[in-house]
Amino acid sequence: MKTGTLDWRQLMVDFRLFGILLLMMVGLTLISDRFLTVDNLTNVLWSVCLIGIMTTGAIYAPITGGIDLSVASIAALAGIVANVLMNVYGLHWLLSIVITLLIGVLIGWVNGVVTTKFLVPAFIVTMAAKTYLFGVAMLVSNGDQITIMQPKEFLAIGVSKFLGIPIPIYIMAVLVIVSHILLKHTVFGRQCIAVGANEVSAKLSGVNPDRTRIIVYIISSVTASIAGIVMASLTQQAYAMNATGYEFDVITAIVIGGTSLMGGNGSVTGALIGAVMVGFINNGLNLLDMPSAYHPIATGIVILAALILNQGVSIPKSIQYLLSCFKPASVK
Amino acid sequence: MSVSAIRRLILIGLLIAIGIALSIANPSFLTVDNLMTLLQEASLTGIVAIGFTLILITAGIDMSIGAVIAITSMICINFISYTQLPAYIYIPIALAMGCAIGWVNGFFITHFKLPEFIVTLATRGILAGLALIAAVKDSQGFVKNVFIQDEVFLAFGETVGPVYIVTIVFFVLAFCTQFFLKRTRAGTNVYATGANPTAARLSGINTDRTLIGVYMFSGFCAALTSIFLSARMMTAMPEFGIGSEMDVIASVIIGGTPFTGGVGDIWGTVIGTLFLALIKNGILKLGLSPYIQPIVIGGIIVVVVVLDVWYKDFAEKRAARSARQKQMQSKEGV
Repeated sequence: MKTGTLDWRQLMVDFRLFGILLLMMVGLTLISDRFLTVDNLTNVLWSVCLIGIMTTGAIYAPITGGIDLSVASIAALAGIVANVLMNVYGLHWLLSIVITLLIGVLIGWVNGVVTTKFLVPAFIVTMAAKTYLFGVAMLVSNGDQITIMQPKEFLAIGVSKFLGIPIPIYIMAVLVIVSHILLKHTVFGRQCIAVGANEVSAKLSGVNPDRTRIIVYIISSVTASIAGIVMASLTQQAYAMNATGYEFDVITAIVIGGTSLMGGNGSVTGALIGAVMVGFINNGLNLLDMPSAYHPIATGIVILAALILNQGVSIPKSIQYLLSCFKPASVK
Repeated sequence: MSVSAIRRLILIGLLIAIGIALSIANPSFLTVDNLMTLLQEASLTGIVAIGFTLILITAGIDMSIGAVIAITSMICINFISYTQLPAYIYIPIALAMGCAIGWVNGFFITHFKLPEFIVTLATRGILAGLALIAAVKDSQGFVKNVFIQDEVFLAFGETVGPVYIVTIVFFVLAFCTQFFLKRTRAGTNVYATGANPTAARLSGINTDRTLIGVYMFSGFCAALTSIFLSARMMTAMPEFGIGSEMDVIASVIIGGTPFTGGVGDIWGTVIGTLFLALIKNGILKLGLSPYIQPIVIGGIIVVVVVLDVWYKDFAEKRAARSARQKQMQSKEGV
């Protein structure tokens, strides 16, 4: 199916997203003359980078029919832990990054094991993880906004450029490519899709659903840790509230990208376009001088609309149904 | 004795043990004042937890309860500061608003067949944002701290003897909901919908209507809590209730209602709420860091769920073994 012929339907979905993205850009350019400036687009790029890095890993959980809501807390914790390891214990910056990623692996493993072995819904486990990891982050950082001054190499991750392009862009690009190949061209990716589509038949055909799911949550929290490290070095600070609310941006990006939260399909490139779109939505609200309260409203509406469209529901029919709900009972 | 009865006895035992330990550690724990405040805290979480229990019985989830508390308290405060309407007009409006939000949640879930948690997560975002926009602002655009002076409204935060009104309402609501669940047809429909939606639909239960009703009840409970909360604080902030979902989920889980649906009752939830309130009060009384609270609440959910599954496994194995032994004995007898 895949080889030779193009998957036209998928291509059309991706292309449709691209069209909406272009329309958004044109609209924002017309609305605000500050949009199409280098400074503003750089700002958008930073937020897109962070969301994009998280999305590349977090997309696997919805593909297997779960969800990971703890990514934001993991990212905040990763920044704080890396800072503590480097500046309190004086470890080498590379070693501290490795240890931080290992802690990410541990958190993901716990999430995965509790979800699979104890049959708890993924969103409860990850929501609980979000809560207690936030507490841990607050406890470790003592609730302070710590400025990271040392070491220069660590701070260079976020700020320095290679061939004129910032390093975080490279990190995101590499992760997107790896994630795309992992999902579409490896046995593991196929197993994820199989588990999400129909767990029983996947099990019968020799896939171990529990193992697949545990690996999925490990991937998700490792990419969240990477995002946390990039964020810490970009903003030069470690703070427990640094990433608050990012999990909704990540879910929005994934849902816009055409991944249904029921499991069984997903597209990394779609999620990347979704991340760019989320970046533009947030930026547009900023440019229009909207208060920050409009941000969750916009995110919520976009999530619902994208989900309903993914579901393939015809909108006129829904409106008809909605109207029929308000009719008096005697009409029936 | 059934598994759930043993579990409940263990919980009550723990409740008493922690209570005794706390009263030894800190003499100010065992005062009428502190106990009544504890009960009041428990009731505020508990009223929401009652609605949430029904949702868990239908195997759903409602993440929007915290945001419903925020938006309904904002509705009340707007009525209080901009109109002269009496409390018995705007309080029903706020309660109806809670029901309406529940209806919207239920509509999206049943009609579009979307996952519950993502719908309610989205409405949570929308409502939390709306609450911030609807907040009463001063001339510089900052959220103003309005002191409520409406005596009828403030009466909701009063006490009858030493007991707060909210505690009485909590226990009455718990009793009524338990009666509804166990003794009425609609209550049985809730269990049936949670246990097996397809079978329930095939046997003639309107599962969509049941689900929408349950979400409306949850919204109603959250709105009710918001009124008691504002009356107790004598003010209302747009941050009210945001993030209280974890407390509610923890209480219901401790009470023994599983996520799988079809099982659970209100008395378990009542015990769970008291348990959580006691632990939170204990953290306060022992002078621990407030950052420990989220760790404890998040940890409790995971630990309780793990213990539950482990114990269920153990009980099933034991039951299977005793059944096998009985079979062997009867064979020997023949």
